[in-house]
Amino acid sequence: MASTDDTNKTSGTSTQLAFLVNQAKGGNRSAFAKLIDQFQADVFRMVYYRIRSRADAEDIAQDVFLKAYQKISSIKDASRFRGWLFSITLNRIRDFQRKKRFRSLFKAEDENIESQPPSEEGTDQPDALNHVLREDFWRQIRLILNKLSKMEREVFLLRFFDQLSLNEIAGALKKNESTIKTHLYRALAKFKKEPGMRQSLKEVIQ
Amino acid sequence: MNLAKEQHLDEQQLIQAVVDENDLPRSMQAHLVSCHQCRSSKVSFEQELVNLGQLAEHYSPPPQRKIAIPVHEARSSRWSFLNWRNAIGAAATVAAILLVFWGTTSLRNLTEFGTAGAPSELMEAKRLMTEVNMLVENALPPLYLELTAEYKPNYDKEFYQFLIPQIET
Repeated sequence: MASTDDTNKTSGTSTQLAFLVNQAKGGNRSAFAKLIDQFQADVFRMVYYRIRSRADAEDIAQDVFLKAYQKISSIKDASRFRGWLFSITLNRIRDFQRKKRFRSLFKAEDENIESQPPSEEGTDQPDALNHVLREDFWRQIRLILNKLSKMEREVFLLRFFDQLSLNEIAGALKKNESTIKTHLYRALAKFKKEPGMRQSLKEVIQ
Repeated sequence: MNLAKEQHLDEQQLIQAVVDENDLPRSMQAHLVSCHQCRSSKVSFEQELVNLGQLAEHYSPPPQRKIAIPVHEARSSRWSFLNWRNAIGAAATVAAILLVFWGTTSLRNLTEFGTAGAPSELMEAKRLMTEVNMLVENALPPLYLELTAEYKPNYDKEFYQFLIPQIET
């Protein structure tokens, strides 16, 4: 019974999403504004997980929606809007990282994007313990992700952090589903082989 | 007792089940449904990953800035040919065509001028050659020739007779 309700709800949501996308394609700004409300947090988090800077994540999210607004007429299948939007987001993140890497060539110290410590976000929060836990969590995540190859890391993040389905990941990365499964399998195998890391993650979670 | 029921999923199969349960062999899929131990191992691992995602969300700041969309940015595709990028593209194309046309015309004119200017160049070359020949004959300028009395010398027969007398037999 619950399963039927969930199916109906999902179907209703996707129908509503398709309707909004079609309206936005026709130049309806308020429909696009609703799409922004629906996806802004997802896009922002997706960027934040990879860059760990609130200011940069907000800039990139703005850029992503601007690009989406300009190109929305090119979407053929409205139901694929989510994957399409995430694909734009991934491209923007790659551009940002490329530019950052290029800029770091002209600096004395080598700035590795992946190994950057989390920036000052949240330091103004009164809860210092929460801040320490947050730092510890991202440090552990960084250690795990550094063990994975580029593709494994991307698929792992998309699946468990961004909550994308295998099909959506395949669309966003422009790869076939079996390739995605292979990378995900390898990533999980490496993740499972790190019991110490998993244990410390569990402690953070508790 | 069914053999599949006795054989538990190994670690690789467990990971495979988390990636996509449908990729497991049918017997293992059936085992996973019936075996509580394997089922709970799979669910536990999945839950660990779900927690990871939830915690990442929890430890991420919410976006503070509102997304702004430009007022007249998006238009329906039928008007897209009128947008500024297309206008600039069209202008650039026209400019390129004009440039090519102008370039071709100029080149043609230049070629024609080159052909028409040939006789004057020929005359100039002849004049230059005459000058060169004169210099070969005598490299001194006219002033020096006058000083040395070599310029238009006016010697008569008597003078030559004086210089080289005829031998009278």
